[in-house]
Amino acid sequence: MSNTAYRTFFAATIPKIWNFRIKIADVIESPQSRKVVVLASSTADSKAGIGTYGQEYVLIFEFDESGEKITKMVEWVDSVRAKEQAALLFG
Amino acid sequence: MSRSIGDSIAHGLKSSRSWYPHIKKMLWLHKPASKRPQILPRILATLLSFHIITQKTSPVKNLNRQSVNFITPPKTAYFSLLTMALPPSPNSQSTMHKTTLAILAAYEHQSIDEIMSFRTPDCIHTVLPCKSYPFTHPIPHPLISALIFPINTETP
Repeated sequence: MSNTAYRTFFAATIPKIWNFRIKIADVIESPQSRKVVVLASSTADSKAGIGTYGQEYVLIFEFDESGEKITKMVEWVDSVRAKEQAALLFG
Repeated sequence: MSRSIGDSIAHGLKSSRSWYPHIKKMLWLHKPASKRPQILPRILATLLSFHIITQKTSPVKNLNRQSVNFITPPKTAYFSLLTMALPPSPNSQSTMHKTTLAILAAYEHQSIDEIMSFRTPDCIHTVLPCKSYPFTHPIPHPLISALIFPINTETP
């Protein structure tokens, strides 16, 4: 997704969840390749109740030379849970 | 009592999701990164990655060798391998590390403008599913390709 596409995608999700919290399990840096890998999980509240949204992620960030902006982001998600969450949020 | 790597993986996989604590302990992931043995775990991680990828002797009953319908375990397993294979982060106060935490905080704030402020104009965001990841894919998992192999070649 380009920035424009991601903004559209994310803007549709934001109103559906609140109290979004991320728990970081581990962070690995690779300065040689300017990458950071994060294992994390999230929880949030939704119209279905408190803590009804949640996901697990492996996030790979690729940075520019300054280390202050990402040039690429790969997000691995549990697709079964994502499907369930989509039904919960948008169904 | 010591087990072979194959036996250990088989033991862990038999109980589905409960295998992760087992492999975590086997790979010293329960220890702080600075206290983990450096050489042996890397060898183990490499052996494990090849074992998982090739699946020459499947520990899973009725394994479909073309595609294994695991949901979460693959990425967790690969992340475990990554954690073992990579040296501890040299500087947790690096700019990249700080930016990463700031990005995650932006997500918690659910501020799309804040999130986008950390991206270059041509940034690409890819979302990949973990279900049905083909274990027998001939090319190693992108995480391993991208991170473990390049860094291992630099390891003395």
